[in-house]
Amino acid sequence: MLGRAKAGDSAAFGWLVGEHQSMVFSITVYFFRNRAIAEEIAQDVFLDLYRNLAGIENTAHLLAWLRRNATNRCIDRSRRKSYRAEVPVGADLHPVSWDSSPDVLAYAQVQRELAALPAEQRVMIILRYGEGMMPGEIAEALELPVNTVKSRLHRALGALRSKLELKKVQLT
Amino acid sequence: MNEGLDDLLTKALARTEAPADFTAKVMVHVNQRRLFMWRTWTAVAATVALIIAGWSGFALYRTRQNEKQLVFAIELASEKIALTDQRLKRSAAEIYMREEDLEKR
Repeated sequence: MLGRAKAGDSAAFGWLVGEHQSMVFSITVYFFRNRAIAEEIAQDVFLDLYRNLAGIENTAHLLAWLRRNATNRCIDRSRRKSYRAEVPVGADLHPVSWDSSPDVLAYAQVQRELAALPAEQRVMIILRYGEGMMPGEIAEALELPVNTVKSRLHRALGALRSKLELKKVQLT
Repeated sequence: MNEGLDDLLTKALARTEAPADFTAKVMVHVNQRRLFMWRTWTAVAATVALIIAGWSGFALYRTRQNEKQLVFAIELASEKIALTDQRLKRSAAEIYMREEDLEKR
């Protein structure tokens, strides 16, 4: 399908978008906690993919490229503009109500605390736990030294843990 | 403790679906870009063709102008040669007549 898309087959490219959109959208939406911004950035990622399709060698390369492009765009956007100002009040990804289960409340709290972390640490948590990538894979995808990835992950987890404990979220 | 946080993060950050019309929106942008690229290349090709045609026409015009100037120069030169030839013949005739007069005297 990648080969057909590279040859200019529009339907094949559409299939690729459909296949990987939830991965890209998950990265951007957990980074920003705002569906509108996340969708805009995810669309930009796929348009960039369309422009750079000729350089994609295989499916593994495509996945790494999408993850790297999505995370770089998230970090760039968060540096360029104060996106916090754009986040509408009550824009939780999983709206909580009086009858929400404790799990849903905890997930929403985790997402809120994650959004408060520095962009570089947030990306590490999203790739590690959202995408299930190992530190070595993250380092390769983001072209960073493994030790940098490990230290950012460690700091991010420490910060998250203390914040969640402060909010009395059950971690065991 | 770590396992609890790991588990919580894995569940809280589980894959979430993109909006239902996401692919359609991306494809609209892709098709717009494709159209834009097609129009751009067509405009570039038309401009290049126009420049080549204009240059060829100008080169042809210059060649014809050069030919005309050459013909004009040749005609001018041949007229001057003819005039000089007439003058030389006239002078030669006058000299001949003067010499004859001198001999008769």
